[in-house]
Amino acid sequence: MLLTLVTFNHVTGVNPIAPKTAQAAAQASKTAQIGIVWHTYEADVNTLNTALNSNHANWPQKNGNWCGVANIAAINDYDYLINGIDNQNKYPDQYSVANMLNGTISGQPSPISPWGSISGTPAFKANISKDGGTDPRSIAWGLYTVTPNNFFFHNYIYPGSNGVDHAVRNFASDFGPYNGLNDPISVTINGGQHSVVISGVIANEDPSYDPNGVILQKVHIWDPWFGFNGTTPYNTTGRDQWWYVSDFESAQNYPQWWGQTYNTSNGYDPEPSTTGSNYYNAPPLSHHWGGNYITIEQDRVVWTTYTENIALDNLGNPVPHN
Amino acid sequence: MTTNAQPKRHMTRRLTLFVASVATLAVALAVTLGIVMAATAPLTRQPGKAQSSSLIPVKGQKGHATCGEPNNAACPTAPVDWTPVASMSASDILAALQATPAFQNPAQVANAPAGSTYSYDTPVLVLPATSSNRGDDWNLPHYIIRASVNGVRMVTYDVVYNPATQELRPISVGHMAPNDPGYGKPFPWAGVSSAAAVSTLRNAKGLALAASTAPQLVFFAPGPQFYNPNTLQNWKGGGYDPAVPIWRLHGADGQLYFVGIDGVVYTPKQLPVAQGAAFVQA
Repeated sequence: MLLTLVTFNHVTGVNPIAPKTAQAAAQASKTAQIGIVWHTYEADVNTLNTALNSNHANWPQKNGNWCGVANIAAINDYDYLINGIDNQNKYPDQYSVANMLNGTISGQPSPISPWGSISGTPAFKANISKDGGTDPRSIAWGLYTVTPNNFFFHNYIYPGSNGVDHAVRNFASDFGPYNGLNDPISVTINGGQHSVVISGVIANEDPSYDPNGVILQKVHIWDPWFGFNGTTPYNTTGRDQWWYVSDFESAQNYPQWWGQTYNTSNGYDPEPSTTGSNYYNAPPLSHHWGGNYITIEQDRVVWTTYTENIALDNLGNPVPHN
Repeated sequence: MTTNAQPKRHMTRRLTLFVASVATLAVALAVTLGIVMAATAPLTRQPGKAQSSSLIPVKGQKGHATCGEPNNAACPTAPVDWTPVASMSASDILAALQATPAFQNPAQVANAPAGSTYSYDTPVLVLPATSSNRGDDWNLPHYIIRASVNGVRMVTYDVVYNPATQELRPISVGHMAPNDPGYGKPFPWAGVSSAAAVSTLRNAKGLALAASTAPQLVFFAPGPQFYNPNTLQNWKGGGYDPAVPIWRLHGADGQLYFVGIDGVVYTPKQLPVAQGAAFVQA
C-alpha cells in the first residue's frame, strides 16, 4: 500500500525544490511508476480562475471564431491580476481585445503587420493569413500589445519532424521554479482550428530544469469553447481539465488535441499571405505553420531582439523565412 | 608628562567600525528608497504596448528541450498505464481509480482549500455505440465518475475500461466553474431521462422499445470533420464523447434509434460518426 501511495507537491514557482534526476520514461512499467512522487508545476490557478470570471475575460468565448480572443483576454487578465495592477488593465474583456485586434480603439498601436495585411476582409486585421479566426501572429501580437510592461510573447513553432513530445516538452519547460516563467500559454490545437490555454503540467520533476528527461504525466487545459453554444467538444467535463499527456499527443484517439499538426484544415487555417513584403509567404517556403506544433508563449525575448511579429523556434531563433 | 596619542591599531579599529556603520546605513537607506520607488513607480508604456503599466520585475527565462531533434536522442514517451480492477463494483472501480499514477483527488482537482471534503457518486457506465479505427478508447466502455467537493458536484473523471484485461485507465479529470450549466448536477447533467427517451421514441416514431431491452447510455466516435468550427456550432445532439452521452434504444421494428441531449430522435445515419464506423447493437 505504501508503495502505491502517490503524493503531490503543488508548485507555483515560488518555493524552489531540489530537482531530481529524471528517469527514462520510454516504456515505463507500472513497477517503475510505483514510488514516483508527482508534482504539479503551473501558473496560479486561483488567479487564472478569477481571470476567466464574468468581470474579466468572461469565458466561454463570445463567438465561434474567438478562441484566440478569449485566450488573449484570459492571459492578459491573469498577468495584471497576478501583479496586483488589475486596475491598470484597459483591455479586461473579450470585446476590447477583439476591437484591438481590428484596430478600432483610439490611440492603440496599428494591428497591421510589418509586412502588410491580407487581401479581402480578414477575420481580424492583425492576421497575416486568411484564417477563419485569429492566426498565431495575431495572438502573439495581441498578447504583447495588451499585457503589462516586461511581458513579451512570441509564436513558437516546433517542427512536426521532431515529434509531438519535443513540442510538449518545450512548452512544459515554461513551468517550474528553476527556470520557468509560470505564466499560462496559448496552444493551438485540432490542426489549427482551435486554441486553448495551458496553465501547467504534472511531472516527476521540474520541467524547466530537465525538459529532456522529465516524465510528463498530465497537462492542465483551460478550454474557452467549453459551454459555448451549449456544446463541449474539446474539454468535456469542465472549463479546466487535466488530460494525460499520452492522450493529448495521441493521433489515433484524440486528434482534436495535438494528435495532428497545424494544417490548412480545409481552408480554415491557411498559411500567411500578406500583400506587402514576402516575409513568410511561400514560395520559396513550402509552409510556415503547416506541419508543425504551434504555441504562443511568454518569454524574455525583448522587442529590441525580436519583436512579437517574429516567430521563434525552441531555441529562441527566428524560424526560416524569406 | 605622558602623551595622549592613541595606539595605531586602536585607531584603525575605530575607523573600520565607523566605515561599517556608514555602509550599513547607506544600504538601509537604499533599500528603503527602492521600496518606496517601487510602490510609487510611474506608469510607463513600452514600445508596442497599448497601455501604460507599472514596470514588472523581469522573471526567469523560458526553457527549451532538444530531444527528438536531428542528432539527438528521441524524447522519452509519455507513459500509458492501465490499472487492474478487482470487479465492476463501484467500490472496486473507485479503488482502482485512486491507485492510478498521478491520481488527483477531487479536492486537488478543484484546487479547494485545505480541509475540504470530497465524495464520489456511483460510477456510470457509458457504452461505445460504434466500432471504428478511431482508436481503442472509442471502442471500449467508459465509466464517468462524478465527485463532490464540500458537498457540491463539480469534478468528473472519465475512465476507459478494457473488459478483456479487466483494467482501467483514466483519460481526464475536469473541474466545472459555478457558471457551467452542469455545475452541482449529477451525471449525466445534459439530456433527457431514460423514461423521457422512451416517450420521445414513441411520440416521434410511433415505436415502443423492443422486448427485453432498455435504454443505454452510449457515445460514438466522431469523424475529424466534426471538429470543424462550423460543424461544432450546428450539432446539438451530443454523443461525441462519453461525458456527453446519448440514449440508444432498440426499437420494436428491430432498428436502432438514438435520443440526443437535445431530446431529438436520430437514426444511425444522422449521427456525425467517423467514416467507416459501424454501429454496435449491444
